[in-house]
Amino acid sequence: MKKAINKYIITIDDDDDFNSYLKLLLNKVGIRSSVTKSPEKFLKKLKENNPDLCLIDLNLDIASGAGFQLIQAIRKIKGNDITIFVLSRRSTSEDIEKAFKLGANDFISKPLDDAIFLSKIEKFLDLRELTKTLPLYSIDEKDSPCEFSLYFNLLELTEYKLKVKSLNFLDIGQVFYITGPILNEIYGTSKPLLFSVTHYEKHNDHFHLDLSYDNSSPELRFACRKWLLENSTIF
Amino acid sequence: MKLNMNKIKHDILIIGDSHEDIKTTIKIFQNLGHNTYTVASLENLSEYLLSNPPSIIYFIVKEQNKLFFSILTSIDQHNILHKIPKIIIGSEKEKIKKQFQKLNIANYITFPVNATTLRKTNTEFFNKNYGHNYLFKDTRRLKATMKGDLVKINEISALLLSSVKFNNNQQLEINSKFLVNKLGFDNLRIQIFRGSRLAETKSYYTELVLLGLREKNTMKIRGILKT
Repeated sequence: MKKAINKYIITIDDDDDFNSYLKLLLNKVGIRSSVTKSPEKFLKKLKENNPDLCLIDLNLDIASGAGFQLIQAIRKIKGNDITIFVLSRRSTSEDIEKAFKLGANDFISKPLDDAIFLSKIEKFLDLRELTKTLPLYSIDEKDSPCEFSLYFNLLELTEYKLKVKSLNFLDIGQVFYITGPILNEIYGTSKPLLFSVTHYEKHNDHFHLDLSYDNSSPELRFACRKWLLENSTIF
Repeated sequence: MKLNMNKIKHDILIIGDSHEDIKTTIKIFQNLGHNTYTVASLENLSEYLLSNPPSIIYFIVKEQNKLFFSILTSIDQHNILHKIPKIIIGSEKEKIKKQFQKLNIANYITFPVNATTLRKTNTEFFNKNYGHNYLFKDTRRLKATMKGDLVKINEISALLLSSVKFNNNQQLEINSKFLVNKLGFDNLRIQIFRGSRLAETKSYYTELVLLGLREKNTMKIRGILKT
């Protein structure tokens, strides 16, 4: 057994063999756990203790899909501070979607792959070197391009720029498209608009970014100024 | 992708009773790099201003003081148009000057005007008044679409190379042909647990943890890794 890690996990599964295996696996990496078979025992343990993670099987002896109700119960009792993994052989797209919707943090399909399972625990509980890190492999250059979304909160509008709050840092000169219902209202177009970061300010846990748009379009300038005239106080 | 960020140009509307002076003023402001506009007729001025609101209006009033006093009064009484800044270029007679100054105007300058006077007047005004602004008190979310590269992957995570330096713990929406078409991820959720680390100037590596993977997805990742 490895040196004990100050983390505690409660599990529920109606399969005795799986429970023994899980207990052994967690014990091997130094994590304390309580394995249960019935929702009553599980909920009792949950209320008595403050586990860091709950592992839930979806199909239990009492009913198929009973694990979904347990996810809801955990969230109701312990709020969002606790991590919930679903460990199940039942893994249709609908099951996964429903589990996430009810508050699960991750969904791991059975049969259990020890390396994947422990790596996930490592990530969620912020543990280092719980298990041998899975190697990363290079993706072919032609397959690597992707797009992702970032969300900002709009703080201020002037004729020439937007000031937004961003959780993440974007440097001056970065250019990207932005959409949002408020932009349709201001600029009178539902098309994504191209903005560039012209200034940033660092705050405690976020950034304020000034974003300017291509001001060569008179339509956008007039639309924005009109919105400001209708909504702003006199300057 | 480059953005044409011109230095700030103002939309300046020039209205008046002297064609010669309007022409000269337009030329001066154009030479200063601003966008200039004028109107052929003063009829329907309010409608024009509502659909093409300028940054500022210069009124050149040489003779028709009464007419422009009445136009400015009606603009002042309009619930929106009174917010457009106005500068008058008018007579040096004190009586006329005082009459206009009772209205809601940003400045009154007297004839004759030249490029230096106009540049100084305009700059002074816009240095003090950086246009209208609006502070949003309620939450208005904006969605930005960024480009990046998924450069590495294993059975639980992928490595994103992008120009965004992510802070800790957040979910990320990603659109990747590789993940959808090659690996068949349909329910994929992505979580960032640790902040990005610098890859090279202005680009960062971010570890993305892949959530909700089914066994078949894991097998596909392993299959791709083997090839």
